[in-house]
Amino acid sequence: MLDQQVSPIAPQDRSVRTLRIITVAALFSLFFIIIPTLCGAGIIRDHYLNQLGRYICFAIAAIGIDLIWGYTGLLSLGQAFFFCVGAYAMAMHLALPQGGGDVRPEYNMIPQFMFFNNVHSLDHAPFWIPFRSRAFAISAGIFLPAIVASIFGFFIFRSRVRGVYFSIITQAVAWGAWLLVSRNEMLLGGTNGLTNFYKPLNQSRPWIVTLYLASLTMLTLAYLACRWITRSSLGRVLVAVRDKETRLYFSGYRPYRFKVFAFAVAAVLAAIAGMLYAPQMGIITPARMKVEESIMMVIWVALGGRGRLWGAIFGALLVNYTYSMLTSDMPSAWPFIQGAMFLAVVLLFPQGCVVLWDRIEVQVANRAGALAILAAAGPLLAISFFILLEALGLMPHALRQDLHGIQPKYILLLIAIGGSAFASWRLRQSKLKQVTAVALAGAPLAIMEGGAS
Amino acid sequence: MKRMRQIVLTLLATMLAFCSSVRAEDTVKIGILHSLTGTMAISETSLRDVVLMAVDEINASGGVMGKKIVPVVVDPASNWDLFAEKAKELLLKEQVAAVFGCWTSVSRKSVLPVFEANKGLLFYPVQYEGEEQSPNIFYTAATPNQQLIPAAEYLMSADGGAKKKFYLLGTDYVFPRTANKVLKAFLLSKGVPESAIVEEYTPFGHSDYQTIVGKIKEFARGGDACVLSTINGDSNVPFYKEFANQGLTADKCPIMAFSVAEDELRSMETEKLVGHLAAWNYFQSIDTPANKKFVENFKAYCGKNKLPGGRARVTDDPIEAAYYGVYVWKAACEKAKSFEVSKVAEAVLGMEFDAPGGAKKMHAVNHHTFKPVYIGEIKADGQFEVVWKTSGLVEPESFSHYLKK
Amino acid sequence: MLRPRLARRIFPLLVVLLICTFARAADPSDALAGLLKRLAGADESERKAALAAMEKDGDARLVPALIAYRDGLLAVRDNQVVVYGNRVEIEGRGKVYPVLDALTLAPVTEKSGQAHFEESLPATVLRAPRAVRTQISNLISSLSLLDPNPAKRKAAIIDAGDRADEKSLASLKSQLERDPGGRFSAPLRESIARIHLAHGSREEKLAAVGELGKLASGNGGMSLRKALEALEKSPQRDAQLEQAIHQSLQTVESYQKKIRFIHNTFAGLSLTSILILMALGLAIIFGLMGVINMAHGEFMMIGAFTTYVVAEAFRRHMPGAYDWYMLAAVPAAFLVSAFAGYLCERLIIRHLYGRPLETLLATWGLSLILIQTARVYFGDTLSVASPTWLQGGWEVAPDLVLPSLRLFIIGFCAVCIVIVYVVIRFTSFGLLLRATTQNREIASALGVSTRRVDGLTFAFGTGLAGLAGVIVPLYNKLNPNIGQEYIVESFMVVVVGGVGNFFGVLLGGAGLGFLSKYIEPLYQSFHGLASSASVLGRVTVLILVILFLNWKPSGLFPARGRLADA
Repeated sequence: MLDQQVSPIAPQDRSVRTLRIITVAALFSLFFIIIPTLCGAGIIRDHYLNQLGRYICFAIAAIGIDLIWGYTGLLSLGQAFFFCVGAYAMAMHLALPQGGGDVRPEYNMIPQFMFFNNVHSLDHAPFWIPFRSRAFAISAGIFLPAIVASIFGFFIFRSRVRGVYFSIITQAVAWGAWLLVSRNEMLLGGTNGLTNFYKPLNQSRPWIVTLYLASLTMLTLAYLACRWITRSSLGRVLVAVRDKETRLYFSGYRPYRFKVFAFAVAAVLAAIAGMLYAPQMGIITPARMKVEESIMMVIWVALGGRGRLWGAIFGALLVNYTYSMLTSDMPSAWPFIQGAMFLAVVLLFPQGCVVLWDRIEVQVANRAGALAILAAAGPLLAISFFILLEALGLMPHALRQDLHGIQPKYILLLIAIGGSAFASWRLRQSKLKQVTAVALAGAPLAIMEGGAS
Repeated sequence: MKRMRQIVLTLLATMLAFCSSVRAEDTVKIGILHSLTGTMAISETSLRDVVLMAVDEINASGGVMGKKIVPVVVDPASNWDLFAEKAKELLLKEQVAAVFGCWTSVSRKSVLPVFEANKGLLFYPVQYEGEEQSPNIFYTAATPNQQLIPAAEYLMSADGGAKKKFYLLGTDYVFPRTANKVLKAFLLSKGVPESAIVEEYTPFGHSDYQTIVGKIKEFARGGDACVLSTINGDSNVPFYKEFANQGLTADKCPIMAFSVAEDELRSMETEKLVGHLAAWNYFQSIDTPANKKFVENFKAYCGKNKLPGGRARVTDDPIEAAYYGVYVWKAACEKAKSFEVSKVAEAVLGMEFDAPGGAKKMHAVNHHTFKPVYIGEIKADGQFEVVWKTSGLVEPESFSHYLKK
Repeated sequence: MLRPRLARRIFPLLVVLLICTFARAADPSDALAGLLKRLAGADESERKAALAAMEKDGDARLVPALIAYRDGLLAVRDNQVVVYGNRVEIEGRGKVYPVLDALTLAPVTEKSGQAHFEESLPATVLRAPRAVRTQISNLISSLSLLDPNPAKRKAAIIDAGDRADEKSLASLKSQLERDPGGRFSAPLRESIARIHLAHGSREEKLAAVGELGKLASGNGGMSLRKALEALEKSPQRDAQLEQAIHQSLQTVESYQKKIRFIHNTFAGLSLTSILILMALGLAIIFGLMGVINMAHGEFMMIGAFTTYVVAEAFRRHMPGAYDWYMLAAVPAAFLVSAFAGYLCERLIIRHLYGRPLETLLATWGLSLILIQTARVYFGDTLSVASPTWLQGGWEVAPDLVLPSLRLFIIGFCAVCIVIVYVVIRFTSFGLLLRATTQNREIASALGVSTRRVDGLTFAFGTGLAGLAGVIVPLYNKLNPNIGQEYIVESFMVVVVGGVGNFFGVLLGGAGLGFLSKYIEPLYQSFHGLASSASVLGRVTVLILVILFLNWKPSGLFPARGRLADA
């Protein structure tokens, strides 16, 4: 099981490092500066920025999963539960008048659903009272999952529950929690969940931009923190836990401590993601903590690339955007496409989508020439560009016209990916007039861009 | 290599041609927001079908004010968060004039702020718990007083078997909870003792009813008991199966269902369910020429489009409510001479119209619908026979007086 | 005083006996036919008179016609009173109603001599107004007291007790006298006692209380409770009678408690057997390849839809043999699911060697595709009618009826489990499977084609899921999502048992199944928690699973071999 994922290129290579710095700088300015500015200028609609903000929250949770699954080897099928702990903590505050909740005098200024559970004042639901304070809600959202995960992890890991046993236990926790929270007696809104928050949170532009930037900052911080953890000696112990726990045990370590730590960090990351998600979504329901949701979270990471932090981010965004896009464009055929996508990634890129990037680095490190690099970058560029246009609502209108059941944008995407793959292949054989191949890949991108501007 | 270049150029040309194609302006878009995959697909797919049929009919007869309707179908995939996202997309990206959709209460709660913030218009076609009245939503199905109270009254009457004990069984979410609260308040007010009422809830998708049916069997000894069921969706199949399996019959202990209509009966062996009851505002068996035509059209539509089930498909209450929702919107647009939401909404209030199940009327204030109430009995062929109905239309109460303090 | 009462008792008895004995000889069918004609006539008062006459001197042969009248399947056709039978499917005509003579139930024939069928019920079909339907039901019940069908007869006897119907008392007593130790003696005694308790003299009441205490049936208990309530409300209290009732009620309660326990055990057993059948395939696959097969439930769904297709084929082409569709459905479901599993292993799983966790992603994708394929082809609303021999139940003791369906499910699963055990333990495939599971490298070194074993094992495991698919539609829904419902619990069974261990799966399944069926009633007995018993029962089981795994981190039977330190 030593399928450790490290970038195939040593970062010492100067041109690779330059490439990385340029990419990071470009991404940073794109997400932190260009997109919010465009939104402020009204070119990008608020709705799309709000959606991006929410998907970024998913990416935060995905980083946590990568930390425990990709690095520590713990497949938790209950992360959606921690996500919801955070989300509910925040939502409880937001649903109360002190958090700006939309409550009415005819319901005694408490959330409407309580009224129908025969609770006519908060005194009958005392656990709600402290949530009037924002500071309490935020600290509950952070510390509650941390404490739960630590206690739970302590018992589970100390008795050396591992592998699939651990997965099933986390799944049981998530399932039980879902069943309980869905009950109206819990006074958490039952299956309808909590809603009627302060409306501008996901409707007015300043709030949307603020929350987006907050999520993005949080994502950056989470990324940096996890990067620091995984690169420190602590991270090496985590990898050791994953790869040969017994050996570590006999070397005098107590693996369970490291596991508890990683599990708690992941839980807190998921909860923070949830806390940022709830206000941007405007509603939080128990359906978010179903077992399927936890499995989906794991799938984001698997698809992006297990054991590579940015892979988790990429995977979360990719899966959620394709899901959102396909359910609109192909209402009853999307499960085929998405299922096929999962299968294709597993069979073609066992390491996940991170491979697409690694191929570029290989070409750069080999000084393969601009065209080869471009051809290698083709698929990743095409996908990212496509998703970006779609995510920001900038996909040209003409490309969304229905054309015999399929929209031209998908044809362009396939041509771009296929073209660059073809180009890479021909370049390796170095027989082709290279211009043609690159044109084949570049033209669709150019069309999309041309339409967008 | 010349060939390759030719291919590339042709492709480029085609794409550019698309980019420059101008959209015709003689159409109006509407959104259809029903889950086509996931747990709710079983119920909601039929509503998409009937709305598309209504659109076809309207387009065939000249459209709305000369404009053809273009339906935009999306799949919120039984995912409540996705409902809100799709609603935004329909309103902002597709700029639809109206949306027809949602089934569960939670999906409606999820999209409600979206419609209010973006000045959208939603027609909601399923009976629900009430306690809501949004200026941007029209509720074309029943409120609790248009379904629950008549059903309970009927069971207590001599015709209904003069039942004295009531087992309130439901899926655990807001509609059954509220419904049972209303029912309980009503029964208590009629002098039914607390001890003769049992309330129980099962989780969504529950399928093992052995214990519960055993308990009902004990409860129903003596033959003066009935079940008031708000079990939702596909849990009904194992429930009714277990009910028949343990030897309970409609003579002894009828089930009065509030969420089982003709469409749900398609997935059950109806021969074993003869005599069980349901309360709705429409049944396929309503014997009027308009309804016969509607049923026939729907069957023909499903057959022609090779939808699963084909000509064996049936209509039911939510299907009718979804269907006439489109016509109400059309009539309102024509009355207001505009597609603008505020004007259309104004025109809907108080509108009288003919639905397949008979004439109905929109409330002048509360955005709900005046409807007749029917109680039907399951027949062996999966249809309902109407055994009782109100003499006229019942006024919708969006906020039930049984839930007031 | 005595004589008139005796006469009153004997007279109806005589009537019944007369009708029974001379029914054919004296040919009162003409009279019955006349009654039926009057019932089917247009005149309202005439109908009422006919019903009254039937109450007086009808017999069991009127029952089908009365049921048809109650359910709206009675009509007059060419001056003949007919009933419409259960619909049958006929090639080219769809579902049609057979038309039968109301009295003899012989098919009405066309001129060619062929049986006549009709597509839909005619508008002239008669249906009893709802107000008289209760009366008709009671009449059916009274007439069925001597019904040749034992189940109907028994239901009628109990119904007479339910209604405390004095008029039936004579018939009941005579039946009991003729056959005091027969199969109907318990319900007869019960109903007689219940009628006495409601209408009899004080002595009769006391005797009835004692009798009901002895019988300890639930129906009797209810009558006792009612009698007690009435006594407590009445101005003159009768301490002795009340005391007797209290005593009898105690016996009834203790007996009923036992019955409830047996019922719960039985329900647990039936849940257990399904869980085990689902989990076995999963366990074998996981044990051998370490594959987390998220699509396992979908292979069950494939089996369920195969069953549907087979059942439909039977209904279309040989409706007479419909009851036996399962004989074909069982092998078909196994083979189709196994073949699908084999394909899946060849095309997907095989390429994921050494990366078991990636199979989670792959099989999840696969399950999305399979579910949607089923939805596109079959839709969400189909059902498989269960064969007639699975209806009804087996009465082991008074009030203890075990539904045949559940008995069949338990038996079916038991047979499957035994077969799996035999295959694993005693066949050469089983030997190779066990060898590969224990140590793949060494097995391979010894010449076992592990890839072939993998393919066959995957097919075997998914085939077992397909078998579960045969029985699931009998008691549950049939839709594309059905597999998802079982996957989580199946995994739990596998894990509790200790991954990949045959006996572990058995014990794990039994643990989960019985626990949930014992815990749920426990919550139901607490007043405040009763309304959420099913949820709380589930949550408690989940907590117990977590605690159990914390205590035994590798399940009941920890795996040895290569998975032990994976």
